[in-house]
Amino acid sequence: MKLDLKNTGNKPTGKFSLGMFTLVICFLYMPLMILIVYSFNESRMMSWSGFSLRWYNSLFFESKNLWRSFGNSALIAVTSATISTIIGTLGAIGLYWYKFRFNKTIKVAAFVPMLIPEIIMGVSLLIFFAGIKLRLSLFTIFLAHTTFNIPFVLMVVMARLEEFDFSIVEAAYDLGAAELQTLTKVILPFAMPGIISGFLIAVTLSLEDFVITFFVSGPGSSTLPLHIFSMIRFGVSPVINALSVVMIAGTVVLAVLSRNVIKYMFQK
Amino acid sequence: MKGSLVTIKNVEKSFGGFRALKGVSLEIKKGEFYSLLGPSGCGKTTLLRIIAGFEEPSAGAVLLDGRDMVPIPANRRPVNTIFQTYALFPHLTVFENVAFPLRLKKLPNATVKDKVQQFLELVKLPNEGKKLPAQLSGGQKQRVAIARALINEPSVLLLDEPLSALDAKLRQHMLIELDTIHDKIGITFIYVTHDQQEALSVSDRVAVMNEGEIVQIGTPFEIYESPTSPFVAHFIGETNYIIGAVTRLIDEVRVEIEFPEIGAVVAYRDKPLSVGDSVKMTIRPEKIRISTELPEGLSEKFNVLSGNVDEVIYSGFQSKFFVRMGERTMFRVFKQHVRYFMDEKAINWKDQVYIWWHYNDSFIVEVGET
Repeated sequence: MKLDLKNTGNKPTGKFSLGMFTLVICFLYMPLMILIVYSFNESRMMSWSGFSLRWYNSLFFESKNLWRSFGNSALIAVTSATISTIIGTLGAIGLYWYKFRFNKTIKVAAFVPMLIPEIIMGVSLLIFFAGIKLRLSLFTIFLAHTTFNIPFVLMVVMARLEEFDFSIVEAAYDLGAAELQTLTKVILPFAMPGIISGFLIAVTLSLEDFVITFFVSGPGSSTLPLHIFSMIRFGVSPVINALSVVMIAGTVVLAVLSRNVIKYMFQK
Repeated sequence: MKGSLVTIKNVEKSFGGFRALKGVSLEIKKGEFYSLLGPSGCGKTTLLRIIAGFEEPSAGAVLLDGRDMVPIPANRRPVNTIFQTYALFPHLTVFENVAFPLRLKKLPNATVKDKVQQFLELVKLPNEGKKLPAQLSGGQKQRVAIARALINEPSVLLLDEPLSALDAKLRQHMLIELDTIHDKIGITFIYVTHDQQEALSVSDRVAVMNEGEIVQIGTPFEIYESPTSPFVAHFIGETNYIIGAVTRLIDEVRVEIEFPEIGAVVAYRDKPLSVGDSVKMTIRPEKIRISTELPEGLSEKFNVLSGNVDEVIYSGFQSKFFVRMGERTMFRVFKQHVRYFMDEKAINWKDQVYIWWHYNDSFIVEVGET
């Protein structure tokens, strides 16, 4: 049997890949499709009884608490992502730039929070906040989210800097740049794609976090995931379906937008 | 010393327990094309980095125009570097890369534009200003790096193996271009390389380094034709060594040496020697002539030996012959193909051949114990 290597790249899909493709589509997108369809269902039950926008109506006009939680989530996501991006970026640059005694130790230590099960993080943060007598509130959620976001930003920015030839920093010095100028004119612009990705990852992680938030949230400081969870305890409300559709739409728009923005910024 | 621009005085550098530089002293004149040549790990790059200001010497002084450079940080020294990896700023266009030093000085836009254009023309890239470094070929990146390093008008340009990432043909070409640029702008170049061809072809002077020390300083001609140590003879070009004992001091310039398996050979005498000294003699392979027939009418100034061809390596413009003189002695002989196959009988494997050279070309690089 002769294998035509030249054409394997354009070969039509075989039976196996077609099967895999179907399975992936089924498990990944079918539930989403069902959810979208049922968000327009008249009935509260899982049987179709006609098209209606009543759940959207109820989502937008009768769910004040849900929107307050959404606001909390957005606030925490943006603030914690911003702070963790700043700390993570500076940390990554510091670890890359300066070779000092505990450099490796810090690198390892910084990644530990990524590996620890969330529930342990949650419990330990709760004990810690209780220990320093910090009242549980949005602020403690913000602290917790910043804590678990830093390693992700650090990792993404460091991965970007790994590609950076250190001679470039030396070249900047050599050509007359001071340390701060080297940072702002050379290192930061180069690391920018990494910093933006780090920020987006941090926003996402913060928005979707449930376990850690569950431990460190106080009365009146519910986030969106916590709120949805509490709603589900009293049965799946189709309002959640409607909310999910809105969020899916929002995510798709943001993803496309950020992709194009990054493309515009770096491949001009 | 008067007239020297860069003075290196007893510079030492240790990394942990490793002594990278063991007291190096150099004088580099204004406008010189000066090469630091040596195998990897000999300390040449460390020395360059000390001059640039990226490393601090453990001891010793670096003077530029009589001014001590050691306390001055890299960004305020009037020297610029061309890095082995070019180190172009990947996020900036070619134009902005070259303009970088000027932008730091906050010069007006029009001045920057004129000057960058002038330097892009110097390196023959007048129309590539808008490209990003990633869109350039290796040779073009090199040119941008040169323009960027020169635009500050440094008094010394440091080049750290600048051509090592280019292919052989381009390397030759860029080398000539570097030489042209050097002639045009007339500043001092300090060129670090491990490639003896590069160093010999463009330098005014070469310092050969080994294991953190300078072993010889001289013009390319001196370094190649009269190496003062076996290391230099061996590192610069190919050579033959043989160890023998002095049997007779013929006159002021000639000495007779007896070699096992070969017999008596006359060599150039430029060192104090006495009968009975054990010496290491060197003779460059291209200085030896080879033929299957005994040459006629040679003067007594030539040494003539005979042996068998052990191996022939044909490499286009020349052939290399390994001529066996005895069980432990082998001579390398290079023969240029001026008119191959036309002027004489071809020399083949296992042929018995005669080799001969002028006594002047064989000289002693090491005098050992008796």
